[in-house]
Amino acid sequence: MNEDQFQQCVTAFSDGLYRFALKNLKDSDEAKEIVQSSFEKLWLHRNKVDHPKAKGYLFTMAYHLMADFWKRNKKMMPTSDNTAMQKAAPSAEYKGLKELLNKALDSLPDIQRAVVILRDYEGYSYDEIGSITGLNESQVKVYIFRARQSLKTHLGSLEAIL
Amino acid sequence: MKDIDENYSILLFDLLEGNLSEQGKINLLQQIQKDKNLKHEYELLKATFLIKDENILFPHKNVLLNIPKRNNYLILFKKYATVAAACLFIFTGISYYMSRKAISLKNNSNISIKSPEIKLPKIEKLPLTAKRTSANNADFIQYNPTPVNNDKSNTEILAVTTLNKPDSNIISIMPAAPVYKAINTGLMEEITYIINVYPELKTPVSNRKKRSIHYPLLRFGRTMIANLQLPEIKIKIQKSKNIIPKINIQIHTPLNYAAYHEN
Repeated sequence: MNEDQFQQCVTAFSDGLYRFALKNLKDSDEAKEIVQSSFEKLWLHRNKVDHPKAKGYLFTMAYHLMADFWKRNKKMMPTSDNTAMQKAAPSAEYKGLKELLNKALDSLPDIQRAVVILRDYEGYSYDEIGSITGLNESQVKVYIFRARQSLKTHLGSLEAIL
Repeated sequence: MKDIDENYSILLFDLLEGNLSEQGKINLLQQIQKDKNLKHEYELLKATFLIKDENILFPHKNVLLNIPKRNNYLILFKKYATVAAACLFIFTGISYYMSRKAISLKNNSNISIKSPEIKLPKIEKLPLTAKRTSANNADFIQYNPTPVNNDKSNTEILAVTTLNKPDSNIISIMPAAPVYKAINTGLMEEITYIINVYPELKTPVSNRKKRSIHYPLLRFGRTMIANLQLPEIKIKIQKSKNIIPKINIQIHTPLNYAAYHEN
């Protein structure tokens, strides 16, 4: 990969990568850091990475960096999925569906949130998501199914309240 | 709303994920239109699909675009740093090796001293007739050996002198006063000049080698000396950078003359 191709990657993928990191981490500074680190790694390993595979490489790097972040944060502040779900319980202040969905997304376990974002935002196949996250295709499908069921339950309960 | 069968949940998921065949898709959609609960579930599941927020943009693209330049500087810096570290390492290694070697030599020097090979300077007799003139005067060092008047322990020695590091390489030795006296009175039958040349090296005295040259002046008869008027001994000494000769001159006479001289 040469400098021009690298700059093409920056133009094409930096926004998507930032979105992926920001939606997963909910911390813009950390998300920016992850994007920058991913691109730096891409440049350092430019001789090993083909230009067409650069996007996958960037998302894989970002995912691993995010996984490190989750590990660090869980050590500092352990929270169960149930408490997260309770925190994200629907209330009257959630007006738009989009906002509600975002809140429901936050309540998902990290891995489910990551795979569903990769699926919906970037349109990756199960196989490609598996390459990024290190899971097999079946595991990816199961995680996405569970994530959608959780989101659906969340939206359904709101519907009942309203 | 009633909960639907779990199998339908999977089917709805597969429908929305695009995992069903065309026929399966048509059949399920027809069923959804007929079943109110299923349709509600379908709509709810459909709402779980996230929509990309196009307003979220990475704000520091310039920083990313400058990564190659920054890394090139970094690589260059790393290269120089590596070279500097390598040089420092080699220098330290050499210094350490040299210091170890010096310590080792110091330790070994106490065990055995090997005397350096001594190269003696070559000396050569010059003809006695070559007297000094105003033209070649600068080439000569004139020295008058001091008479040993009261040396009873070694009565053979009439006069002695030592020249340290002579500047000229031609030494001219004038006979001492007792020699004149002996010649003039005709009582001295034989006289010999012995010139010892030592290399000036810091070696133990016992190891010191010397090269000697003898001048038996009266061997050919008293007349010869008388004709020369002022006999001069002249030697040529080879000098070099490392060898600065030390010259010891002794004038020897037989014991009978020494006895005469003492009287």
